[in-house]
Amino acid sequence: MANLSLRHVYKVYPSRDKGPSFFKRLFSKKAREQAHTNQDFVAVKDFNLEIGEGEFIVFVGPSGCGKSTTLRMIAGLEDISAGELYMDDQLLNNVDPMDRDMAMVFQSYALYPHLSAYDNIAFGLKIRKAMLPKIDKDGNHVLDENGEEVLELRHHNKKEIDEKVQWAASVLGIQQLLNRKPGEMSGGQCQRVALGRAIVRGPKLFLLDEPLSNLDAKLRTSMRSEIVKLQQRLGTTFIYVTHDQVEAMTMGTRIVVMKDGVTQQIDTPVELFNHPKNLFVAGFIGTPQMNFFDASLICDSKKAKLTFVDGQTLSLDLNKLPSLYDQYKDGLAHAIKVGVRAEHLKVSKTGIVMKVTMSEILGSTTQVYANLEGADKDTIISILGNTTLKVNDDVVINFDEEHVHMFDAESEETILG
Amino acid sequence: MDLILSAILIFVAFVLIFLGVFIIDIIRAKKHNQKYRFKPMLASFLFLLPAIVLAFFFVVLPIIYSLAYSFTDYNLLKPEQISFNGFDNFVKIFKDIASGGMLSHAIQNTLLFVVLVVPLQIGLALGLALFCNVKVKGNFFFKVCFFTPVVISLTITSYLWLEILSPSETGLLNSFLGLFGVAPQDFINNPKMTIIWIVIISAWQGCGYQMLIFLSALSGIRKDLYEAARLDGCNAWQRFLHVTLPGLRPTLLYITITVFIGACRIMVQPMLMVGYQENSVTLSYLMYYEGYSKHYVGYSAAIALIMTIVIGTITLLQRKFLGGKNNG
Repeated sequence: MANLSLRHVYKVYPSRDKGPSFFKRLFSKKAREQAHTNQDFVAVKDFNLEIGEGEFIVFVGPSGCGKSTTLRMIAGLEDISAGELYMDDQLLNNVDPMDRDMAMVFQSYALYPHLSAYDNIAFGLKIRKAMLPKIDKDGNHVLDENGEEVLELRHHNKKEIDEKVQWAASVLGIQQLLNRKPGEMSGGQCQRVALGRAIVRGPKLFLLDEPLSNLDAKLRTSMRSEIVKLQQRLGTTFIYVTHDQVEAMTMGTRIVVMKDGVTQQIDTPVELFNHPKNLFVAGFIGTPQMNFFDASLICDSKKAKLTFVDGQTLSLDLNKLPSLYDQYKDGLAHAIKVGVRAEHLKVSKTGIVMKVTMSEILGSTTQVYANLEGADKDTIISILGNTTLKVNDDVVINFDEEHVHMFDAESEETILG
Repeated sequence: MDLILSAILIFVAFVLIFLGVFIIDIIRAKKHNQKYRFKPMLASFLFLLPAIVLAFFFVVLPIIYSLAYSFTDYNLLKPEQISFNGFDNFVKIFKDIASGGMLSHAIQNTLLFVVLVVPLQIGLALGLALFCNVKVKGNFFFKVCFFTPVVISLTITSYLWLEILSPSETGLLNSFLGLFGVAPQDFINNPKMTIIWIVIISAWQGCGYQMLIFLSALSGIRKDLYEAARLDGCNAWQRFLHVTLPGLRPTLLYITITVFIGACRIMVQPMLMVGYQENSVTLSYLMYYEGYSKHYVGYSAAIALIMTIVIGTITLLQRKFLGGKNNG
């Protein structure tokens, strides 16, 4: 168990492209300019995070957002370009991965193909020395004057390895698979063995790099809850990387949303869902995706008036809106983006009129796709039960004012405090 | 005339075997109530035909002839006096070995050469491959350097090394050793050292090719295994032992077998650098010498037959013990 602290961590990959050759730069102005714009690639930018004991942290974001890179920096598989990484106040930047006392589960499982599941799990125990109770010739633990066990740095013996492997196997329910080789196991079984290899050593920190991405949807759901249960049982800190926001929401105690190497928001799942800090987080978290409307906002002290692209207007009660920044209450028009989730759109008598383009019956709810004239994307309305709405019908919708999100059109940051 | 006739006869037999395969195929299809598609099958056989004809004339025919010659007293200068002499050649071989003649020297030299060159060449190739596998600027240059001996003709490298090992004071190695006050030596003709030098020269010449194969196998080992091993606490040597070596196992088997077979056929270097002497003669060289210098083709073919059987057996044993089961 450990406190982990990342302070202003950067990862920069030097540009592979060397740019125009010396002679080209000598004779061509264009080449000289090109050489100047040739920049290094910043994969992770100013990453700050404090992780407490027993937390389940999830890094989430689209591909190439730097989440795996950050995880690999924590593991020590990638160098940290700038910034500091501390574990329990020990600087880890230049500590070898083998000395960091972390275990990692890879997307590809990374099981040794020539070893059986048993040997894969036991591998780390066999290789590494650990502080273990001293054993005398008869196999009993040596006790000191106070009756406490004497520890010494040594390799595990066969019996200890077997005990630990059997324990890990029983935790993960893979006792019957221990003699199989990775080639003879399914993806889910391989992933369990990989988890076993991680837990058997009892590390301070678990790093999981998209461990469920190679599994089918059903197995993913069940493994998801199993990993959460495992974390609760072990009480160790987990850092989990995924691109799947559902995984992030269901598993994490705190979620780090990343985009293009920049942290967007670090919060609990509920906070992320209810109070996204910017347009990206709002759009990334939640299914179906949040609906966004381009609108202009004119606001006085009581009412907020939204004018949509097709000229329709809607006025919202300011008391019900989560507090709007004062600078927007000046009575002038501001270009904003309004975000409302499908379940927070109500079919009502007054409001804005849209045309239904499609409806999907999901069983307990029906998703109605409607188009606001002039908008480039359909709006999704989630209606409980069935609906009589048909394609090309007009539908009048209103917003659930308590769950409206507003973002500045330019900065894309939230304007609700 | 007889020779041409027998060649034609063998060729007919060869074609008949293929026809047999063809017919068995048709019968099998009929048995399982499948429709036999004649045209695609014929087309595939026609595509195979050029390869089959070439293989017949340059592989099958020589093998059958040498098999047949090993039971005759065929002399290259008196082809018309050829007669069947049963196991006389084989009896002579065992008598030669027992009497400690040239043949026993050849066997000793070849064995020594194989035992030394196989581990040396494979170890060297693996070491160079690991060295070149590190992504450092300029390692392409080293790859080219290590591979160059492979493309140079054996004759040229042999004479090159003769220059290096020349017994005169101006020889490259001797003049270098002379700097330290060592008297000029006749390296290659020193009876105890001849085979050792030939081992060094052939390993140097051959290892570039195996290095290339190892390099491609190394690039096939997944990077995440190394990362997992690092997190499991392996140092560089343990990573090599537990990730690289198991990953190279199929390649290692292939290379061991090919290097072994190649080593058994060693001939050019001793022939060009030393000549037909007790300390340099190898089995292939002896075979060549008996067949083409002394013209005893029958005897030579008998040695070839025994050698083939021995090499084949050892190769199969290697496959069994090094290959293990399929490792997924």
